[in-house]
Amino acid sequence: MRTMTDIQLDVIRELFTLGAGRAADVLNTYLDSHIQLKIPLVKILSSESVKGEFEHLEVEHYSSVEMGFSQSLQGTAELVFLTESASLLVEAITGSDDYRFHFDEIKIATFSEIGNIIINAVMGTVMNELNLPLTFSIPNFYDGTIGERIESISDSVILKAQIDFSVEKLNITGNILFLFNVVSFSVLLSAIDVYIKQP
Amino acid sequence: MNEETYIFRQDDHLFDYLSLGVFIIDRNYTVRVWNRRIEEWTGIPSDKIRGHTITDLFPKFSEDRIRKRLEGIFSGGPPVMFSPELHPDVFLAKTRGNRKRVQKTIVTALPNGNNEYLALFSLEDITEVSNRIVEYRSMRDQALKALEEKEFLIREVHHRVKNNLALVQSLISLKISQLGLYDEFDNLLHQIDAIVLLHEKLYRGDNITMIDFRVYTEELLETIFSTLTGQEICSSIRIPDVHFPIKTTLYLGLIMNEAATNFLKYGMPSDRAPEFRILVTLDEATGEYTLRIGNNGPSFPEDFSWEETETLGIQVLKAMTFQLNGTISLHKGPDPEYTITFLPETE
Repeated sequence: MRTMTDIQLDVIRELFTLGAGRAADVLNTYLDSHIQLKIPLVKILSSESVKGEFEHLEVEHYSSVEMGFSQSLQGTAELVFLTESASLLVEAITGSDDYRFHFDEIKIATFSEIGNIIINAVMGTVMNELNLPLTFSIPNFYDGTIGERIESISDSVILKAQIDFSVEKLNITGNILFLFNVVSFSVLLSAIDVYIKQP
Repeated sequence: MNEETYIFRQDDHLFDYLSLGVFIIDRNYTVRVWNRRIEEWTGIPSDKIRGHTITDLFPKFSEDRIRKRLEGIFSGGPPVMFSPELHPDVFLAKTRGNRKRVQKTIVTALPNGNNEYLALFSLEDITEVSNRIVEYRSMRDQALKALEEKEFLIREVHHRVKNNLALVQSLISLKISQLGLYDEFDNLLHQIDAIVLLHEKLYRGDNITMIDFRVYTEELLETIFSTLTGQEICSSIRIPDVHFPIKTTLYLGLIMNEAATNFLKYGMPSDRAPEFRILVTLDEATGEYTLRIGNNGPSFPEDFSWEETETLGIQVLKAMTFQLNGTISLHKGPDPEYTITFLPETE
């Protein structure tokens, strides 16, 4: 099965929102201004349908932080932003105004940490609430077109969560993609069903 | 090696052979391993720190914002990353030149048996990369400042040229008025107007080398029509969103000025409302533009010879087209029209 019922989607969105709130708490300890994170939309996609979710997927450059996971589920979690938005986000969080320029190693390291905080918080919440122990690889940064990335995805079920950042008056939107193989996706669905049945 | 069966051995000296700075702490923040590279970076020998809490020497580890991130590590949670920009002062270490060392840190959970985990810190030194980025940013900022200054000066020059031309225009106007030669010289004043407008666009606009040709044409024709006739002229200007370099715009401006003033003087229809048309099209295959300047006035006389005529207006049209490296042709009528083809100058 490669879909989710509305109730299952509601549960996963609720858990992601909880995780995003925890990530915002961590990020707020680094900032003078207040940051808010929201997950307004979660949807299930296939390797094919994910192409329709991104504009100019062969042209626009995207930056992503990826962490692989294994044990009870097998897959990867990626925080994906247009490179320009990623640079803007880093500038908003570090308080400088350099976003027009090169996304250099220092900014990449900051973006990677932001991705690490968000993925850890969101996946940590899913792990704990659904009782799914996971082991993670260290965060990796990637830069390229989504077209290139999608080519390497085959036979995966993709859980796409839109993530909205509000820092001061700035709103920046990105996505978290969770890529599972079919077996792991079934395990996730079963775990959600168990969670739903809990009193 | 299976992670489930791996148990860290404190006497393992493998970490000393790594280029990364590595240290390990337990749940109580007691240092268990301190490798050679981190000894070099901090100047703290392993035997002086092992067995002590890391907060004794690095007080930032007492802060909540660090501790909260590390909490999950001691229960086998996902790796945690600390970037140099968000954590500049966690691991205070100096380079040989006494400059602050810049590090990127990854913390991973290291199984220690009995479902316990240690925090393994791997520090990558990115001081050199960071210094180069700082130098690059500084050079880039200087270059941008220099460019801004240059642009400011160029705008200033255009402003002065425009003012000087306006002064020349005033002097000529005075002389014309003294001699009463309005008809003979008003075209000269409009030719200067076309150049003044060009310089005005350059110092007022965002771009100091390219002109928005549609806006320029609209303003040029408005100036000509409003000063040379009290009659309402219906202008149809169809120009795509195109920006031309200064020289190209200058020659096209003088051509349009000539065609418009000739129309007002000699080509106005007596039996209908006057219309003046400008159309610019691009041949995408060749990159060549075509400018059509037409009106609904009477046709040119049958015996008018485009090649042989020596009238000043036609001479100007031909000379400006020559400067454009373009071609010009005339459709005598009905609805006379000049067709100029040209390749814009490269910027």
